[in-house]
Amino acid sequence: MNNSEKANQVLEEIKSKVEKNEFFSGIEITSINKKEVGTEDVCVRVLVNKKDVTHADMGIPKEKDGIPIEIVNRTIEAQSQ
Amino acid sequence: MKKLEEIIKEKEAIEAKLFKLKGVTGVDVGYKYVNGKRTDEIAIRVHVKKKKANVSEKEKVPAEINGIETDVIEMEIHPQVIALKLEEISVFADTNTYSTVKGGISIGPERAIGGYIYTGTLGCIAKDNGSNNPVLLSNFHVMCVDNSWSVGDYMCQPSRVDSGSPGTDRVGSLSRAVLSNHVDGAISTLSGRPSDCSIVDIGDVKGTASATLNAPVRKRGRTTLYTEGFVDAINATINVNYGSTLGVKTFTNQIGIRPNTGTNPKFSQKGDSGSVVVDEDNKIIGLLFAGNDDGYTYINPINYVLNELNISICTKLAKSVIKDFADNKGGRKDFKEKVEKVESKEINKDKLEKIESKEFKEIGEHKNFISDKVDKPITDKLDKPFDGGKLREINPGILNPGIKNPGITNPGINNYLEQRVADLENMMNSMSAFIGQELRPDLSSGALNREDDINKAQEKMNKDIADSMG
Repeated sequence: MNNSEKANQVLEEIKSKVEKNEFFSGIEITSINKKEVGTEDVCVRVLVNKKDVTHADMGIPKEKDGIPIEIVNRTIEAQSQ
Repeated sequence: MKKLEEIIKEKEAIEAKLFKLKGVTGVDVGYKYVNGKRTDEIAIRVHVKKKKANVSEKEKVPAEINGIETDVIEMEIHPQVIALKLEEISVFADTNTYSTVKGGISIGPERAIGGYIYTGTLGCIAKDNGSNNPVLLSNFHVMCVDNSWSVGDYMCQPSRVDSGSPGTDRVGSLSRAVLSNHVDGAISTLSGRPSDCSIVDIGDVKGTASATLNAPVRKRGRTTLYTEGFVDAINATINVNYGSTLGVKTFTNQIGIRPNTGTNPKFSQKGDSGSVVVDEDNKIIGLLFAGNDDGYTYINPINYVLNELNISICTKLAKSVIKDFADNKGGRKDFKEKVEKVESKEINKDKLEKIESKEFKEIGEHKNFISDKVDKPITDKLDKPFDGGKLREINPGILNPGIKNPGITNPGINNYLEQRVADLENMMNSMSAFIGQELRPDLSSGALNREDDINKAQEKMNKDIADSMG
């Protein structure tokens, strides 16, 4: 299983745990940036609607099967005016 | 009664004192109101935020000031400006009217929704797979706004927010819309203006592609205009807040775009919804629909958009094929003239078949210009009018009644002509989906598009045939 397939599998597992959480606003696969440059390594990013939400708040580990899991505060809105 | 000048002087003298009373928002001179009705009495009027029943003598407005009546009016005065957050002001928003409709420009519904008007971006020109007509691609929440939409809702370019006028700037009407787990999309018909398969500041669209992590991308939108970014996330499941009317919707398999902060701080802002995002090869990877205040942006993968709206992307490739056709053989005008000639003048079957077969051959030759990459329906449409149909079925007795069957009238002639005109009309409409309007000024609002014109054409043909018989 390559890195990307593994990340997809981890995403699905993590999604089932977090999507009902009150802070959840999204989940995605992203590449790990080093010095602001994207690398081929990927991680799972959980989006939350509040600052300072922790992995413990979401009930998820910081890494699973070698795939890092990060939490980012991001609320998403439609882009019309 | 005191003169007006005297009342004003009294008001100016007492004004500062009145403003010291609680809740006073203004003092002026004007007609006194009693039970909501204006009287002829000029009074010193004191405006207050809220009238109160029990006011102490100290805080009370006197009933009379030096013989001049007073009036207490409930009124709070606001400055007549709209306060916007600095970051929401789109100084550089493209509010222009485009004589040729293309991607990356302002669009919005003509109707007001709940007293508000809306704006977004026309992403690109597409083709309705059902009708083969060109359509305008944008978002559901741009064209429909909420669930009160109807097919046929008019769109204007620029949007009303950008000073577009209903009717005057009308560019089409809502045709289909989707708000699913994958797509926030809508299409409008195109009317009244020519279109171009390109995007402002980006150029010709070259097709579609899937997103690759870290791939550089760009878009052109109504608010932030041309911006660059990178594919930052794939397989995204996100909750998007559409406000009070539509609520929060969940989308899956979405694509995240981070801004290229070296060129622009944000990839998109409000008003950019509906833009299409292209890769380095000008291939569309998605339809922009959501984002956050930092300019991080989400797009619907283009394959979902095309499937769920049943459309194809308009590319220059398709247009250039037709242009080659026009350039090499005198174009559609020449073709149209020949068809009209067949319609109105030719009564000789041999000659008719000769013309028909020539046309067929010419089209056959031009099949060579059609690339394999061109959408299949183009060949369908070119083939359709020449598939051997009606022209071969003409009864010689109809074509040469004066020779072979003198005195015999043709009871089926009207039906035949109607069918022929209808066929031609269909053919023209079908082909027009693939030919830039600048190449067909005589056809886009052509003579065969309206019933009365069709009737006139039919009358003319009848007369020509009658003349030839006579």
